[in-house]
Amino acid sequence: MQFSNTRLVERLVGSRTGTAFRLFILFTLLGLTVLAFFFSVLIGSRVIPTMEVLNAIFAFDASKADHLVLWGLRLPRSFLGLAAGAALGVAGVITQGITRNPLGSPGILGINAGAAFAVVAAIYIFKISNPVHYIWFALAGATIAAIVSYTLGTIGHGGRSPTRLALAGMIVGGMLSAWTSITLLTSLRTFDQVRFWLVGSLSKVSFDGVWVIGITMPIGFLLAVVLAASLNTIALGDDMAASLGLKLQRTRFLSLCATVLLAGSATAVAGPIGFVGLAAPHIVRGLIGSDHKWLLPASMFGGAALLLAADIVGRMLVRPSELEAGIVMGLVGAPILIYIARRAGEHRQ
Amino acid sequence: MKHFIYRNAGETVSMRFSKAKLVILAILLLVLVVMAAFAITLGDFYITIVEVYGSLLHLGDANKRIDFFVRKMRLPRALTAALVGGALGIAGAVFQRVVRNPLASPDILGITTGASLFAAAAIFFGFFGWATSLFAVFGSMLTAIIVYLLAYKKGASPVRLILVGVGITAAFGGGISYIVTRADENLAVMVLQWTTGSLALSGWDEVLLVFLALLILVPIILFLERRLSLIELGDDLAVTLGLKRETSYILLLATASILVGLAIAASGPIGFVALIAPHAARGIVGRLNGGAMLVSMFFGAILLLVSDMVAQHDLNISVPTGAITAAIGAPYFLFILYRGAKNGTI
Repeated sequence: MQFSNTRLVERLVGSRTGTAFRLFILFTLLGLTVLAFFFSVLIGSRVIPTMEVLNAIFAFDASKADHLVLWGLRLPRSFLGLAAGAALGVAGVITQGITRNPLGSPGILGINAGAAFAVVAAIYIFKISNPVHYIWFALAGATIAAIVSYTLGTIGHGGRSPTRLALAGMIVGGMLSAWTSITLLTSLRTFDQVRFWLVGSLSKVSFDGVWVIGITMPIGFLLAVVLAASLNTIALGDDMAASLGLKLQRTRFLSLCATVLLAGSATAVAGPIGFVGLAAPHIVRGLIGSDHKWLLPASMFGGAALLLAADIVGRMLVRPSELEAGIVMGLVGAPILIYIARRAGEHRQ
Repeated sequence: MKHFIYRNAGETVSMRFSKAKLVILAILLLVLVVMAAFAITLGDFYITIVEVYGSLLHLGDANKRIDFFVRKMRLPRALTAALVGGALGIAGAVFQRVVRNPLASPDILGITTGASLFAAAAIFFGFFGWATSLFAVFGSMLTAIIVYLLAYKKGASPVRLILVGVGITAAFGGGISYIVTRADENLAVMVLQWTTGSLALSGWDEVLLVFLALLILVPIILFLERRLSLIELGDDLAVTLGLKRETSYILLLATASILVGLAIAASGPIGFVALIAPHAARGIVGRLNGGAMLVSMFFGAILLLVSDMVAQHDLNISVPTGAITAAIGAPYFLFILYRGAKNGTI
C-alpha cells in the first residue's frame, strides 16, 4: 500500500535540489563528522602527537600515559559524543516530522526534562553519588515522561492533532522541570552534585556502564530507517496522509519509540543537551531539502558534528580547563541555525 | 449574536465582545476577586474576610496589626500575582498569534532567557535587588530587538522569528549555565531562585509598575488585535487584505515584549503562564478574537494567584512561585487539553 504511493509522495514533498547536490552535501557532512571526531581525539589539555594516537590505537602500551589518556578519556568521549549527537540529530528530525512544527525537538516530548528529573530525584532520594548510575535513571525518566506525554496527547475523541501531542509534551516537560527546580532549591547537596550534569557535558563520560545504549541506539536508528517514508507522507498533512493509506497512530507510536530510544540514550550519556536535536535538523534541511530519506542521514551527521564541535570548542576556549558542551552548544549552534534560517528565506516550511 | 463594535476613523477596532464572552469575562473577574480576597486572609496570622474588607475600606476601628498584614504584605503580593499573571497571559496570546505557532511563548522566543541572562550576570557581579530587575528589563528589551533584527530579511517571518528565538535562547541559556556552574554555591542558588521567579518580595512598587504597564499596553493590544486576526490568515492573504505586515509585527512584538519585560522585572521570569493561559482561554471561548484576548489575561491572573497561594501556604518548604506555576498548572492544563480535544477546539 505504502509502496505504490512513494513516488507520488516524493514528488509532492518536492525538492529543487538534484541528487548529485544532495549526495555532495551528505558526503560533506560525513567528512565534517570524521574531521570533528579526529580533532576530538587529538585535542585536549594534554598534547598528544598524532603518531602517538595511532600507536595507542594499533599498539597499545599500558605503561605510556598518553595511551591511557586516549583509551580512558579521549576515545570514550569522542565515541559517545559522536553517538549522542547522531542520535539527537535523528530524533530531532523524527519529532519535527511528526509534529510538523519547527519547534519540534526531543525536548518537546518531555524527554530531557524527564531524564533530568529522574536523575535529580535519584540523587535526592537514594543519595546515589556515582555518575555511572545516572544512565539508568535518565533512561527510565525519559521513557516515562514520553509515555505520559504521548498518552495525554492522544487520548480523547478526535483530538489527535500533532499540536496536541506537542503541547502535552511541553506541559509534562514544564511540570517535570518545575519539580526539578523545587528539588534543587530544597536540597543544596543535590544542586551542588548535579549542576554540572544538568548543563550537559561529555567531560565525565566513560565506557563504564554505557553498554545499554549499544542496544537502545541501534534499535532507534533502525526504526528511523523504517519511518523515513511515513514521515514524508505525514508532511503532507494528517488528512492527506490518512487518505494515502498511512496508519497515523502506528506511525506516531513508532516515532515515539524511536525518539525515546535515541534521545533517551543520548541524554543518559551526555546530560540534557536539547539544542542539538532542534538545531541539527533545521540546519541540514536548509541544505538538503525536506525528503526524509536524505534528511535523516544528513541530520545524523550534522548532529554528531555539532555536538563534537561544541565539545572541542569547549576544550579549546579556556585551556587547560574546559567548558561543558551544553554551555558552548548554544554559542556554536545558534549562529549556524540563524544563518541557515536567514539563508533559506521564504522557501522553507 | 450581538456585537459591541467601536468604530474609529474607518477602522473597526476589535472590541467584538459577544454577550457570551462578556459573561465569561465577568465570571472570571469575579473568580479573580474572590481568590484575591481569599489569598489575603491566608497566612500564619489568620484574618477573616470581613476584617480584610474592613481594613481595605477603613471601616470601623483601625486595627494596626491587621492593616499592616493586609495593606503592606498580602494585598500587594496578591495584586502583583494577578497583574503579572495577567500580563503574561495576554502577552503569551499575542506571541502565539504573531508567530502563528501554538507552542510559542516569550520563553521560547528568547525574551525570558535574555532577561534571565542579564539578571544572572547582575547577580554574578554583585548587583542585587532592584538593580537585578533593571538589568532584566534591559536584557529582555535588548533580546527582543536582537531577535527581530536577526530574523529580518525583507521583513520578519514567523518561522525565522521562531528559529532565531530558539537559537538565541540556546546561546543565552549557555551563558546562564556558565554562571550557574562557575559562580560559588550561594550565588548559584540566588541565580537559580531568581530565574525561577518569585513573588515573595512584591510590594506596592511592583504593583504600580505592572498595573501601569497593563493600563497602557492592554488597550494597545486590543487596538492591534485586528491585525493579529489578519496575520493568522497567512502572509499573502493578510497583505492582500491591506495589512501593513512589517509595521504590525513590530508593533505587536514590541508591545508584548515590553509587557513581558516589565512583568519579569516585578517577579522574575515565571514560566508556563504565557504558554498555557492562551490555551486555557481557547478551551473555553474557542478562537482568541477580540475580547477573548482578555480571557487569556484573566486566566493568567487566576493561574498565578492560585499558584502563589499554594507556594506560600500549602508547602512546608519555601519554594519560588515560578516552580509551583508549572507544577500545579500542568495537571489543570492537561485537563483543558483533554476537554478541548473532545470539543474539537484544540
